[in-house]
Amino acid sequence: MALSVLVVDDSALARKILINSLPPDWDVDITQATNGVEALRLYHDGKASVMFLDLTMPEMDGFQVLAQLRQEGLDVFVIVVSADVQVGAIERAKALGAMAFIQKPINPAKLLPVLKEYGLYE
Amino acid sequence: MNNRDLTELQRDALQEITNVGMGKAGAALAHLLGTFVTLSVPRIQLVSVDELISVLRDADHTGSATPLVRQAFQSDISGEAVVSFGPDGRSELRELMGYDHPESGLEHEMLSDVANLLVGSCVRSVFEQLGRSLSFSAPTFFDASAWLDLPERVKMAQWEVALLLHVHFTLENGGFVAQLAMLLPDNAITRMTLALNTVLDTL
Repeated sequence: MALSVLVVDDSALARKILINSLPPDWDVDITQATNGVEALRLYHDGKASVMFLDLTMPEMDGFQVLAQLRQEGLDVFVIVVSADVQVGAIERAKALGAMAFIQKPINPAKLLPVLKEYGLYE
Repeated sequence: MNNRDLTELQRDALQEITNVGMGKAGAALAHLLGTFVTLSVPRIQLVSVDELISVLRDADHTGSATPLVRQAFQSDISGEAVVSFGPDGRSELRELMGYDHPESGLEHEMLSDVANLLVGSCVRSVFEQLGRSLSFSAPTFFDASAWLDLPERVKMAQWEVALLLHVHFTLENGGFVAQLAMLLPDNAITRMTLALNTVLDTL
């Protein structure tokens, strides 16, 4: 069965670059969200076993999404993909339950080791 | 103000590319201040000279003029960056540098160095993502009174419109540290849109 992957970013370009960076033979069902509110709704709809989450977004940012997911019991594998590369941002995201942090701009060379490390893609 | 010279896709691409550049500059600033810096979603606007002054000047929403540092950059797309500092940012920086009684000469130097750091990391990243290298002129400091004749000083009177890429750095407690505006004059806007099309075409 295909893995549900949710790509959350306010930028269409960023979502496109991310989706293009996924392994072409990875068996996934991709859904996209443009802000945190949409992301949580789609997560509740069961569209996110894995979530690629941007931090800097309007409406509800990535930190708020992580905090909400954590409060609800975090039943999703969150990989933060962000331009905010401060040590403090990485630590904060991980403290809120993000499994991995990838710096933008993302590419297959950055993404593949993370997917393999956590057994998401062989 | 509408973005009449950019399509929605181009505007989105430029905003994201600027976002990545801002992240690099924010990390450099956070490292320097030893604190967490809150980043805003970058704003992309086409502005006239008058609008530009008012956008830059109202950065801290107090209406009070702040010192600023200008730095020009050159590539096949040339323009300039303007960094302005808020009172919180200046006092944070003074404290960091151990200035109990700031001599203005030293503060000028410090603010110019910080502006250089922000401009270098942000603008270089933007151009890298567009597949370009670029060079920078030395930063130039202007005190608050420079706002009065900014159009003449930055020679923007010759521009009809400028593309403004605007990023804002704040402290965790909400204090305004600095803002960076990248300005591209008329002739650079066309080249920028072509560069953005190249990026979009590769996807």
